[in-house]
Amino acid sequence: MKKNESFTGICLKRCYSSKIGKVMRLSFFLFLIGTLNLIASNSYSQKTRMSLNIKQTSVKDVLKHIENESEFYFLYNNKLIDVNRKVDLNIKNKKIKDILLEIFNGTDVQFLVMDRQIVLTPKDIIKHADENNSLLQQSVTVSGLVIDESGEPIPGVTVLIKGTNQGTITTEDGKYSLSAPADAVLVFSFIGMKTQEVPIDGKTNINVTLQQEVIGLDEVVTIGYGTKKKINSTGSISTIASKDLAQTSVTNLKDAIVGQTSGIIAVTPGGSPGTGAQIQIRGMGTLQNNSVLVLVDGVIRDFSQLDPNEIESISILKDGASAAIYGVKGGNGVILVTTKRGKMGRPRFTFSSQTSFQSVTRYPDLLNSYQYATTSNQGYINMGLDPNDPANQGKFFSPEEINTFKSGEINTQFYDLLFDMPAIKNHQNLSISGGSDKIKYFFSGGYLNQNGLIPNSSFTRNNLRSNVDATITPHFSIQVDLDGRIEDKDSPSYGESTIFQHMVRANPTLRAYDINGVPLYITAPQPLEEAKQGGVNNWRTTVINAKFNALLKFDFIKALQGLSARFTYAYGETHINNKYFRKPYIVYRDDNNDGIAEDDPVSSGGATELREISTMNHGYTLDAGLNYDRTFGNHKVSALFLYEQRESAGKYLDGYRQGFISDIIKELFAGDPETATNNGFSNELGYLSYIGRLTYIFKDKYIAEFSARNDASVLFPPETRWGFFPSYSLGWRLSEEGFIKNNFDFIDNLKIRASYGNLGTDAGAGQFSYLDQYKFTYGALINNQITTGLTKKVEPNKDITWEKVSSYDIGLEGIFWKGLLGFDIAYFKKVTSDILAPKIISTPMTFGATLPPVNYAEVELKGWEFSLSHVNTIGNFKYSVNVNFTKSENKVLEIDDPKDQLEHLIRKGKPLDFYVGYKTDGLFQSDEEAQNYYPQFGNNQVGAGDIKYVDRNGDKVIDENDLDVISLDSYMPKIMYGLNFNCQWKGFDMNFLFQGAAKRKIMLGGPARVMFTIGENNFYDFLLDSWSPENKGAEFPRAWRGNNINNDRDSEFWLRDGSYLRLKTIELGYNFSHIMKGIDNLRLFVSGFNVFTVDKLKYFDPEVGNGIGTYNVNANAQHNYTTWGTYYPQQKSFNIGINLTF
Amino acid sequence: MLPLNYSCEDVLDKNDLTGMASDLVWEDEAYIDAYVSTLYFHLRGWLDSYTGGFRVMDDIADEGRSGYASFLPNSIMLPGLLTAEMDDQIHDMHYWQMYKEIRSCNEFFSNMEHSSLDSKEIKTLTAEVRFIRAFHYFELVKRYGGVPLILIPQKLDDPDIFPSRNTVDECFSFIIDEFDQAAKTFKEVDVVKTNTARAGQGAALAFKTKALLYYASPQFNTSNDPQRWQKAAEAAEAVIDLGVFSLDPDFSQICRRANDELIFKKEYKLHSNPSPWIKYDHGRSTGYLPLAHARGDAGYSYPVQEFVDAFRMKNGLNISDGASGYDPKRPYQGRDPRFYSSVTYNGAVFMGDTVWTYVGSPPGLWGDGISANPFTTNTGYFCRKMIKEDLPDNYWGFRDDDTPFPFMRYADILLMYAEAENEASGPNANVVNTIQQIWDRAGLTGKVPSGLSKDEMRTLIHNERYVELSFEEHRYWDLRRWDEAKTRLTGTKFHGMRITLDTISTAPLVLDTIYSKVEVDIFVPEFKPYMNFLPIPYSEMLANPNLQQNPGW
Repeated sequence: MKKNESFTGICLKRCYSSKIGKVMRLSFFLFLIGTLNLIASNSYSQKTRMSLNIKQTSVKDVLKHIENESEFYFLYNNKLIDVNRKVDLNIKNKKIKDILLEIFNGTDVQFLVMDRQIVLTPKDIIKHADENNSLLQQSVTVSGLVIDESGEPIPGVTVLIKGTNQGTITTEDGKYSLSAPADAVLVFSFIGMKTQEVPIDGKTNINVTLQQEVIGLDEVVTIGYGTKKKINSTGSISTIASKDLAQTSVTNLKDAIVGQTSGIIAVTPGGSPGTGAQIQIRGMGTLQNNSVLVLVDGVIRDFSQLDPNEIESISILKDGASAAIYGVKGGNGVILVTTKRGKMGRPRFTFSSQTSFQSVTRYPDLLNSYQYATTSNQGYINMGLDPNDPANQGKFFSPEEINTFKSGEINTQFYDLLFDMPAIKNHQNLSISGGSDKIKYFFSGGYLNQNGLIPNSSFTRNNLRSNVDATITPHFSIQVDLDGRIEDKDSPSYGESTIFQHMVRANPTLRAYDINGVPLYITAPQPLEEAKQGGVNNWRTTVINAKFNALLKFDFIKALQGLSARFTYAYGETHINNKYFRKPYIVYRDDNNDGIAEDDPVSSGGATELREISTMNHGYTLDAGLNYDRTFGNHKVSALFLYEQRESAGKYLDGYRQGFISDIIKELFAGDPETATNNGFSNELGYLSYIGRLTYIFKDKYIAEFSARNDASVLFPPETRWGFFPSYSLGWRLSEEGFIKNNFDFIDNLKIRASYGNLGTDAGAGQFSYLDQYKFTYGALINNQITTGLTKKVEPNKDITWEKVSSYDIGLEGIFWKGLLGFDIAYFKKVTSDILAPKIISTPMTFGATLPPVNYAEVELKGWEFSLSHVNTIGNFKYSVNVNFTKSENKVLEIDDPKDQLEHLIRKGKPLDFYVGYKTDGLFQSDEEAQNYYPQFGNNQVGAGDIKYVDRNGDKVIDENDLDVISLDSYMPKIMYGLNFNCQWKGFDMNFLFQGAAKRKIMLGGPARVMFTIGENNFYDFLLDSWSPENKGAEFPRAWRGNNINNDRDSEFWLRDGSYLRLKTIELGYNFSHIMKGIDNLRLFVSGFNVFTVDKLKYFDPEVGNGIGTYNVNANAQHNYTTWGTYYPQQKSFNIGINLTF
Repeated sequence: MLPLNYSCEDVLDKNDLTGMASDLVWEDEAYIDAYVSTLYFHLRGWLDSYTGGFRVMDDIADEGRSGYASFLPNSIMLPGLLTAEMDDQIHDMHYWQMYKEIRSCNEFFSNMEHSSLDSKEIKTLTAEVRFIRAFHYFELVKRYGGVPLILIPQKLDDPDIFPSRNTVDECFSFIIDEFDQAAKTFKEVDVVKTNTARAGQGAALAFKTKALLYYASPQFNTSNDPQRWQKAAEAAEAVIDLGVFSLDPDFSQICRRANDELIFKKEYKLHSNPSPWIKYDHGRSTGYLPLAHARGDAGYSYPVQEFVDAFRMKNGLNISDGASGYDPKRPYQGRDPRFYSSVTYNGAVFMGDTVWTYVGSPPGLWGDGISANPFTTNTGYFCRKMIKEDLPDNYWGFRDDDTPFPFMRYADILLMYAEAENEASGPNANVVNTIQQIWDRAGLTGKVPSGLSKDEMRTLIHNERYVELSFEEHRYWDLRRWDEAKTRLTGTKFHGMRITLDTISTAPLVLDTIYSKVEVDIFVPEFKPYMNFLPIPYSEMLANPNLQQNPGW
């Protein structure tokens, strides 16, 4: 890496990791390379001559100027060196040493020139051992290495002998050497780090790890197309550091960011291997597509399957102004992922390994055979059937049968048979990083293998990354990044959710295996054999990404100081090969007498079949532009102009055959050619954008920013495809004002910020819905021949254009008492207008066409969030606490509510999702009570133990007209919060994360509210707390066979509070590095994930998503019962691991 | 790799690669043919995923019952609890969405106006689309009464997208005209009868007959205009006079082989491609096979006792007739041969196995008596009509059957003729002879009694439709058409047959079979008069303020 102004400033610690984005930009004027062929040499400082002619310029700016003009870079501590002093210089063609002598003439500043690196110190500090031996009596030579918490060497650390002003400074690889009295104490200090004192005690080698001073003033955040000091930022941006990601044991990175920071609303609806949370930034603001834009190192890419060890930081741009620079798709918030890069210094190997033992968090039990039989009998009795009437004989279990069940002789529990716990997960990663001032590298390889809870369910991932930085000339540098991964996901061909559904369904009174373990026919699908025998559905995903980035600084031309050109070309290719091999599984008829009815097999699932689907997507992003960054006295100005184009294309191809004679060869050629079919299609997309940003900062006090983006999307017709999205933001650092600075010295930073941004999105636009297009489809079967069919795609909407987002954000942030209190509070409001959605509800079906999306709806999202932090050190005990909280509510402002829409179905003025149902008044406690009450749904079978509904409209009849809104909450929480605690004591470290959600409701459905669905199915045993004359305080209605038309209705009765608080992670580690030589870091740790949960739902894991049944009023206003609680359960895990760096 | 030569416009010059522009379609005969093929494909047959699931109407009248207690038609429609709001739950109410198909037909006509093509094939296709559009309108009127007649593809900003309902008279007059016009064109191009699933002159005239018959029936003919019956009879005669259709000699094979009886049908494919999930194979066996052969899905259309009792004896006498020879202890002996190919009963041989439904028979296979298990029968019977019994070993259980769906067969034409003629002119020889044709083909040995009164003949014809056209989704509509649903489907639970074995002696073992009728309905059926018309889906009422709901809903 070439010299860089930040090396001179106060952020020596952070710059080499975080400023990459700015440094590594390459001009698109590639032809210039040839003219910049400056040759560096080992005696650079001896050969290089410079000229300077400046008046009344601060030393700081002079040094910066020299840096810009040469390859020199300066290391100094600006608390020790007065760099604000103004100087006049007129130098012609002199060596650097002479120039510096002239600058610091008459001051107490000394300098040490080490080729291109120049260290400035107060006089008398630099006492190299070889020069100063004579000064000290009985001295020893002490040497060592100074590193930071991540094991990186720190150059420029001041090492002083305590009580003197004698000492030295560490070299570029963090080493130092000095002579000191054997009983002296060494003081290591560095800006941004905690000062450390170490007694020599006769040692000759003292290695020191400096801890970062966490006050956040020097924090640099990644913003769109660059980085910025957080204190100078005017937007709401949260950052999650690498450390917090690598510590979690999640497979999918989306899960790792939940709870870490304010502004993230998420649910984790299931636990299928490799899948992750549904994430929204600040909540849902539009009807259809609320997906968040994710960029990895500036390129639109998925981040969920990256190895956490590859990641340096994650920035979350929450407000409209910050995200507006991504105008085209940034409407729902932006996540910027920055990967790790090499740092100057010797090679460093980091190995980490973790093993997890996963099991189900919570899953309700199912009925055993005895409970099943007795409840079934009771259900029939409650339905009015007489058990003694021979006509009903087939319906009731006989006392003999019930005795058999009671004895446990037959009790099929697929929950026990199917779950294979603990399921093991392994994750290893090895990375190598290091570099010189010319080339820096970071290589990382990771391997993850996660077993599922059921047979043939697993996930494997291999990650590889190579990030290389090269400084070609002092003004020209490039980055070449390559990364790739292979994911391999297996699930049973019958589908995970289907198998869980069959597990819940299975009748426990039928034997599933005979005494020899032969699987028996259970009149319904047999979930374990489906999973074991039924074949595998495999997805193999291969991702290859390459990125080339070049940066050319024009500092060598005086008039263009501060100007740089950048060029990025990123290519990515994803190939998903889905191989679905399914075969019938065989079970045998139970002949009831312990022998095996092997001669009576039942095959289920039809033909053996193989479908192989190949999906290939590739695309590139190209951007090129200019960046300007310069300070004129009190004025800091920066500007960015970029041109960007993106294109992508996809191809889909599938082949299919049935009739495999054997399942040994699972390849298409082995199937019956007569059954072969295939299909394929392609698609293509393109985007063009012009991007600009202007930032002005006065005295580090007043900050103003303007950015704008002009975007074109091919999904819109030429007349409407361009959208212009400007944004404005202001910041005022009160802490820089005299009245605060002088009166409240505990205030280190205090800033008010406000922003207003416009964004757009084409996410709801569909595919070319402005074109009048036809597509091939199924034709009729004519004479037993399949014919080709053709049909119109969608009624075109020729006026379709951008969905627009206006976003407001006001925030107050501060750091008090050097980090003892840090806070960030923001209020936000976002109005999405011209939302694209088909007007399904208000367009009569007689219209007949597939409706196109049209721009018409409007949704408002508002809320507030805060985060608080506290960082402190008490002796050896260091700790930090971070609390975050987000509340977000949306409201529909405009939607196609029909004119005479029923009150409870009107969506205008209500949230996007809410629950509609009946208000209830408990259970009838007697048949008389039920008979004397209003008729309910014209049903004359309502009796004691059935749900009593409230007559909302007072017409003395309970029917559909009594429907009402029963909750404005939905499965998506309106409140999310987290508490993150970290501490260190000597070699020990501990951290935990609590994460919670509130204002969230879940509707029970399916087997969570109906006994014996379709007459046969098992259900969750909590329903056994059913009403009976002996159990009048029951939580649930009386037993019934199948859907009870009175009770099986969405109502308050089945609505549950989905709030929860859970200990998401807890980790305890011990670092052996201080007692082991030659190793930078050796840490062992144990951790737990989803350790415990406090909630009201009781039965299911409270994070269960939209799965138990919810009235989700979306664009087509359909009831949305999905999997009825038969989802892949969430998991908890116990993990052990090791981190090793040397 | 670097696309630096790209200009901005190339980046934005993208197309929908999954589609084809409108102007290409309407100038190419092959594309137009494909377009019409999809219109045929979307006709609602047995079980189609496109058209929304099971045909429910066979299980809510007096033919069969589903074994699923919670099957919505059973628990909602049968007890008369249906409301307009339930349109998303009862599949048949989705019929309104067939306006999609009507629009596709309208698009065809609108685009063909500008097309330069004009060949015999194009003329045929035009007649086919005219037939399909009238077919959908007839199905709509049959369900809802007068519906909006929309004859052009509307535009989004067109104020007419909120139409009012046309009257029943207007609708029937339109439908009959359209069938007529289609028939005329078919005749011009000489497509009278097709052996495939495409329509011809015969189909157009046959459906014209059906429309006229409905228009003449009490449900629609509120003024009791006898002229309408006369027109229906004439229309049926026109089909008969074409001379190209005839009854298949074997009733059990009507849908199982190529014949001259099927006038219009939807085809299904065995072991279909491209995938078992897709479209062509949700055939007759779907959900109707006895458990032993259903492999995972069963539970629909278990025939009720009332239906079984409707079959005469082979000699043509009703079982209630003392002379019929009916033996309640041997209830399945000597019956109308159609019974044996319509119903699988205790002791019948089905797919090579003897079926036992008596109480205590081996559980899980056929039925252990009348069972709550939806996969075994709850009436003591299984539906056998048109179910393919020669399924291959590796068939897909509930998804695999190539039995076509008979939209119209010649037997229906004969029965319609007899019915209309009886209403218009009384039980004359033509009526008797026509019914006799049906009996002869069925294998009844007796003669259709002559000398019956008009009312007696009507009863006979109605019963004949009951047994001849069972499980082809006629009965529910017929009961409504005759305005008989309000009596037949109200107040009494329907029955099944509970069969038990009684030991008469143990050595040697002699068992006696005891038959007892038991109620199978959990709810008392109720059909209120207003239910002669289905409600217009509530969501449609909301979307279109100009619509008027059918009275009573």
